[in-house]
Amino acid sequence: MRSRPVLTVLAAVLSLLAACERRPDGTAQGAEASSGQLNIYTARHYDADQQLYAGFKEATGIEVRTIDGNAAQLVERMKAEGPASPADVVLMADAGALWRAEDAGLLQPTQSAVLSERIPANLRDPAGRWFGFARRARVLVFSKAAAPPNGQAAYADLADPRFRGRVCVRSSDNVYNLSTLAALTELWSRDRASAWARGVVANMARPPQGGDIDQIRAVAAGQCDVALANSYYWIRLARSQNPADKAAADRTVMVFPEQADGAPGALVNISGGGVAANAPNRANAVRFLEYLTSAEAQAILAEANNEYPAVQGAETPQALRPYADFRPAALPVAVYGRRQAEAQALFDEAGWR
Amino acid sequence: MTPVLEARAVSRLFAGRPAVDRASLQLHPGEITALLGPSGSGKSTLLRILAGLEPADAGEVRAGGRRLSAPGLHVAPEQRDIGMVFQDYALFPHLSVLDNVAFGLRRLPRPERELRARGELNRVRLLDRAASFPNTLSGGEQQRVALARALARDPAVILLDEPFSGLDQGLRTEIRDMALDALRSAGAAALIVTHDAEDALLTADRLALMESGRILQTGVPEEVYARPVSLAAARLTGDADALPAQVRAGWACTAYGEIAAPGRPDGPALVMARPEAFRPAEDDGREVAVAERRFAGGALRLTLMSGGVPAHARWRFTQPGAQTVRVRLDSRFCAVFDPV
Amino acid sequence: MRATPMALTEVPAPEAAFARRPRGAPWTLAAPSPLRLAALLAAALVVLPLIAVTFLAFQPAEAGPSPAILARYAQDTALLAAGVALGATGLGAVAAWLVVMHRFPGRGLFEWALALPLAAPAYVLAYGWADLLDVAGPVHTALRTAGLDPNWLQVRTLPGAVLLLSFAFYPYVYLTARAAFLSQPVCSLDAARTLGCSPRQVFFRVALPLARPALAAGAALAVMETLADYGAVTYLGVQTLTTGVVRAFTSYGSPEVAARLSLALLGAAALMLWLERSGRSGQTYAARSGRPLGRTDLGPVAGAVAAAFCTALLLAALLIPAIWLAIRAGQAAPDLPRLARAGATSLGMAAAGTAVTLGLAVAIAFGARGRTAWPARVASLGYATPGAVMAIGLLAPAALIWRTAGAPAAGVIAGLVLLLYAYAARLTAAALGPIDAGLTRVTPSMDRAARTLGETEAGALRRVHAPVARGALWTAALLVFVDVLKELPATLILRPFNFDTLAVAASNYASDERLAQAAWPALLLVALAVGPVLFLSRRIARSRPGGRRP
Repeated sequence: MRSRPVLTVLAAVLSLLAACERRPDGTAQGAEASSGQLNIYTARHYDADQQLYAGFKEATGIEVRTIDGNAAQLVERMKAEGPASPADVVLMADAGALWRAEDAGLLQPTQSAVLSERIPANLRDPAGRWFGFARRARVLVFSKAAAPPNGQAAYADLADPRFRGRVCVRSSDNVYNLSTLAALTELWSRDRASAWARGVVANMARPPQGGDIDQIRAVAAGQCDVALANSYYWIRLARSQNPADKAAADRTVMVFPEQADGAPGALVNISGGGVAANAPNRANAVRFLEYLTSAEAQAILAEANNEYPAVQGAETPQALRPYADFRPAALPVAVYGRRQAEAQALFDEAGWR
Repeated sequence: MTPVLEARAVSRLFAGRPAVDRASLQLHPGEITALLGPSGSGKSTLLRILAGLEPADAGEVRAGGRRLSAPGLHVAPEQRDIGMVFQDYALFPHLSVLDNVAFGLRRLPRPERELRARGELNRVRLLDRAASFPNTLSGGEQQRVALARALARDPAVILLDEPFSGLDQGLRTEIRDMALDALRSAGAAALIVTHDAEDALLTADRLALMESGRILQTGVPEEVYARPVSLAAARLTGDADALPAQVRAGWACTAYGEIAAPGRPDGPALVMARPEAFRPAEDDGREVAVAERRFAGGALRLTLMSGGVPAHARWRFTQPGAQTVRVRLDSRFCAVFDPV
Repeated sequence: MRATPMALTEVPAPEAAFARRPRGAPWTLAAPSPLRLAALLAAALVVLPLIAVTFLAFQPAEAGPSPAILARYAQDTALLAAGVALGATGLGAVAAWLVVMHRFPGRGLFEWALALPLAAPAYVLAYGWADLLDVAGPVHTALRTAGLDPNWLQVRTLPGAVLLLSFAFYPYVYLTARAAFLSQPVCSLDAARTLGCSPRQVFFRVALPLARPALAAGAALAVMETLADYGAVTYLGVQTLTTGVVRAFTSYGSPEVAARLSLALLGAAALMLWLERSGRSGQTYAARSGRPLGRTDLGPVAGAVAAAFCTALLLAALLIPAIWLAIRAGQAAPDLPRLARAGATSLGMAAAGTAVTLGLAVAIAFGARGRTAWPARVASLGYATPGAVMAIGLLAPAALIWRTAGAPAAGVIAGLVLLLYAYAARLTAAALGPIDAGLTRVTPSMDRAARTLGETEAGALRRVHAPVARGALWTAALLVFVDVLKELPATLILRPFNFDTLAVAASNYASDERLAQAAWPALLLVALAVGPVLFLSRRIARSRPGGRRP
């Protein structure tokens, strides 16, 4: 039969692939002492993160290996791996996802003076299982014509009948939307949040589709007057070298909602991470989390991905400053995860596809 | 003479029903045996049991002193010294004619292998097609390649499954003769399975009749033809009429005349009569009606009617337009059986 | 996302035509053969993830999407599937009929080129078209500038998705239909002409009914692909049952509910598989005559229309989205080292995945020896299983490997083995189809002849089955190779550290809404897949049944 040539090819390819996995200095991973290594499971797949890993390696000599995937997949994978999981650090792009990992018992508490001192209490788990490192605001993007003259807007505007047929949003299973509705449910009430979701559905210019940038481009193209997006997407367009992207930002206005007196402030979500429950390189994991709070890492996050620093007192890079002047809601982000399934159910009831 | 291959009361069940039922058969070196039976009689199954392609549920298959098949025992086909020619020839489409023939000679060194294969091809007179591929051959050529392939290993026994059924009538005689020559020159014991009585009678040194999984009769063809053990056996080897008869004092009386039935008690019986049994007669014969008369080249086929019993005869000549003829029964082509 | 399996069967060679083959005639030997056992083992490995899904589905679960929502998913899924079945069948059958039966400018080129869209994953088509026809894209902008209302031109709608997936999956129908038209008995077509049918009537009254089983098989493949697709429909904002599976899994955090929904999808997939199988069994009577097909000369006008149709199809299904992605790619600087690494990984995994998958498929097919045995049928379910479902199911066997391999489960080899296993579980059936078809050229009596000529069972496989089915083995290998290149969901969830394939890189960039960057790996992926698809398509184009194939 063909088994022999098949096995030969297989062995050759496997050894080749294994060779690819060798580190630049020539040592194979298997021989690696645990002190020099850090395994990260990350739901973030921004290019900025490569700079973070490189910076961490430079600062500590610790080699970073990553597996990226969507949050639910990473959680399921870690559950399947159980005690054998090689994960040291889990990074997520959303508080809800962090809560999902925490809820599944995949994160362990970390006591670190550095972390608890630098990261505000509402951006981390009280038990120290996860910490937020970067913030983004959930903003409203208006067309120039529809932009509020006084610069004041509220999430409720999306459900206002004056925007009937003029609202662009993405699908409800997107985690940013889920976190938004979870937060509104917490801020308002379940009924009011539900009514809001129905109102938005009634105002939709088109069925939910695409990503955040697609919503911004739709506003720019005149298909709708207002859209819901993450701040860094609009900022990315505004700072883009690509004329088409730049034009999209120029034709729209990013407004931080809920800035009026008495209003709760703009909803903020975090990118964050924690130490995996069965981390083989626990010490390295903590060092990495602490590194993320360093001025250098905070700058990379802000500069390369247009996210706001989470660390108290960290300086916002020059380029981001024009887009960073807002008052965030004080809501603990932990609520996003706790109310995520409820939020999906509310969306489903409202007919938000 | 000890048989080179022998089946002893072999049975094979399919879904609880016996396809082969306690069949016994002996094959002798240099002898061609024909296994004749209607389709579905189990003859191909018996062939596959002999070849080791099918296990035996009861009985045993022996080669000389060696047991090949028995319940719980099965020698693989490749370990039996048995060659086989398949009904569809089963040539390997990816191999040339020469490579097909050399397929079973892998143990031999290459030059010898090729020499042997060429020798076999020469025997079936296909040496000029050695480099051809099977799909370019005619049916008859494919059959001969299959035969050469089976013979190349010089097996003690060669089994042929309906070897001539796929061939045109015109070519059939020629190819059959060629195949028989090849078989005889190889000197192996051969078993030809066929449903065609003419093929069987013409090719066989010994003839075995099979029906419903059982071997009905074995013997030399002439004897099997003339002295069938039953009406069923008689009908396998050729046309036969069944004439109701009464036995009186050692004579069986039918509507067409009497034949001797020595030792048979008085009472009803059945006389099997071949077409050759109805002889034209002068005054001593019995006058019977001619119901139908058909011209078939060398002979006339007559349908006779006497006492409400039809019968079939083959004569060279009758009086044109005659409504009746006189016949007498030739006992050499008759047999007396118990009534059904 | 996965290429055809059974569709690309070579038409049975004429040798098989005169072989009388007793149906279901049992050929039992006294002892169960080791090959048979190997086949069973291979089938068991392949089906393990599906068993895991079924098991999970019967675990207690938390809330998931409401019945009303699920009903809507199911309805949209049915509409999408029906639409794609119609669209892909129409496009594929017409294209095949044109190139097989007619002469027109460019026919020779189109004959193989029309199979090329097989190299482009549906999600890549979706990236290209959705971006090109975005409200802010060039087409809409141009229309608006010209004072026209562009809003009717939307890809991100159910009809848009139907059209796009029809473009993506028509090659399955094209290939099966082409094989069927090529192998149709010329004498029936001639007979129809003598009975007073015009060429057009011949098509509708003889050729089409004759090719119906093949068309059904192709359509079933297209529908299976549609059911399995997640990347493209999500990108297009269309919500199907697969969306439900993912939403139950991610938003509601309930793999159990996801597994339950998966069972429904599995049922639909099994139905398609059955359709495809029964379609295939009807094909065996084709092609007796070796007489070459006569091609009708299309006039200048009809010829131009035919050429335009084929060109338009190629443009829509491959060239326009690819070119637009290339333009977009020009707007971003590629991360060349990362691309090179991902490309090398993709190629390596595709090669290794092909070896493993082919090994398992060979074990199953040779163990069953061309007869459709249940291991083969069971293994086929893996192919019809949506990737999102398979990913859930794969975690169970994965857990076993991860936990037993212990801490260095991070160890590259264990990770790679797992991933290769995942590919095999999904794609064994894709390889089984052609191999099975190739093995129909080996009649049972050939097998027996080899045995009576002194070969052992394994020897007969090596010296008869394998060489006779060699062409089929190549077909299977190339199909699996292309499939592994395009594979995404299993790679995403099971890969080892620092392991990017082109598909993963494209998906990551796309989900970060960086289409320009995503275009690089996407295009490279298509470029890598085009080679094997081209080779395959030309190989099949050359193999006219009845032609001499020593």
